[in-house]
Amino acid sequence: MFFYLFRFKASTKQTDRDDRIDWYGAGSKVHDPKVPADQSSDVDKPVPEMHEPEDRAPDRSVRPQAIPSSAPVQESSPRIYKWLIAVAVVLIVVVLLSFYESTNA
Amino acid sequence: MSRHAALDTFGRSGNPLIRSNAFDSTAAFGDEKMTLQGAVNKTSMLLAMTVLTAGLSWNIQTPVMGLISMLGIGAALIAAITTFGFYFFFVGWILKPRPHLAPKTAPIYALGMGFAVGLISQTFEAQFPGIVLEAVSLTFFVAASMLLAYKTGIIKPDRNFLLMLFAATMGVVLTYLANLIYTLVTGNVFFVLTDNGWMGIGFSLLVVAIAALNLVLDFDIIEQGAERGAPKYIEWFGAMALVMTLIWLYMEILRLLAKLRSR
Repeated sequence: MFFYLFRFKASTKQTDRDDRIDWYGAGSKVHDPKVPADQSSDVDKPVPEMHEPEDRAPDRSVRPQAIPSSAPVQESSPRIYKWLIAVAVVLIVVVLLSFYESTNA
Repeated sequence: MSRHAALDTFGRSGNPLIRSNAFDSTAAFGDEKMTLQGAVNKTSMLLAMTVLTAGLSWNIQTPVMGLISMLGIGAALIAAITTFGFYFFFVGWILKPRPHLAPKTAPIYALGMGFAVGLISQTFEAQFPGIVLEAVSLTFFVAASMLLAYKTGIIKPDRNFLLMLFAATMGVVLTYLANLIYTLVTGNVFFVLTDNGWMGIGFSLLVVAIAALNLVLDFDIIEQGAERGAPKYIEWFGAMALVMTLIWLYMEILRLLAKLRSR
């Protein structure tokens, strides 16, 4: 039953949604014949550095360090921390209750 | 555009584990596209491999087989970490994911985990006869129900869903890690993990529900990959993720049934 169901394409109700999780990048053309075959090595590619033109030597004490647009954003959203804190609180309660029950048993 | 404006922030999060377009940089422009049928076939192959080695470790219980099983489990863990990467909070990726290695690592994972599944199942079966058949049936019934719910659009995974499920899954992972440390230090196990009272059963039910919901994400990765013509190796990657979740779900159902039977 599982494999029989697996073969069917999901309904349009599932696929034609605006709020789908974009696993493969929004609007990315996955098959582009002009692009070389294997770019999988890009996974470990180092983040490109950004250099400023030498003739405009900046005052480094004033300007903040430039961040390349392709670099991953390092800060995590506060929302995920809220969820993690909530999960941590639930876990602590469960563990405390667990100890309470085990000592009373 | 996403209707969840607040989650736009989350989408721009630096956390690559859970941000959207997770496979953005890894999706190669290969000549061959992935297909839904290909992913189904690969999932069947991986499950067959798991059953094969599970049968071996179940039936042959010699010291040599014990050693082979341990090596197999170790290889499976290495294969999983190599493919899915290793992420730690506040540190970032310790090992980046390499989905393009999945055609090689997925069979290693399936064969290796089969040994663990066989050993654990055999132990439970010795204590509670018939429990393995029940657990396998329940696992596939749950998986089929989740698949039906996904295919018909009853469950629609969006970023909110991903966020909640990620937090819940990490909660379970952290609990098991904490339990491991606690066991190493004190020699005891968290009461909630072994308790056959309402709390232990409730915890097991919660973990089964989280594992089952993780299946939806696996289905979505496979379905979307086939729609967008992702590279062929994503078939293996999706199948490996699905088999990994199915094994987790099976283990949790086994544990839940054991708790219910021991009451």
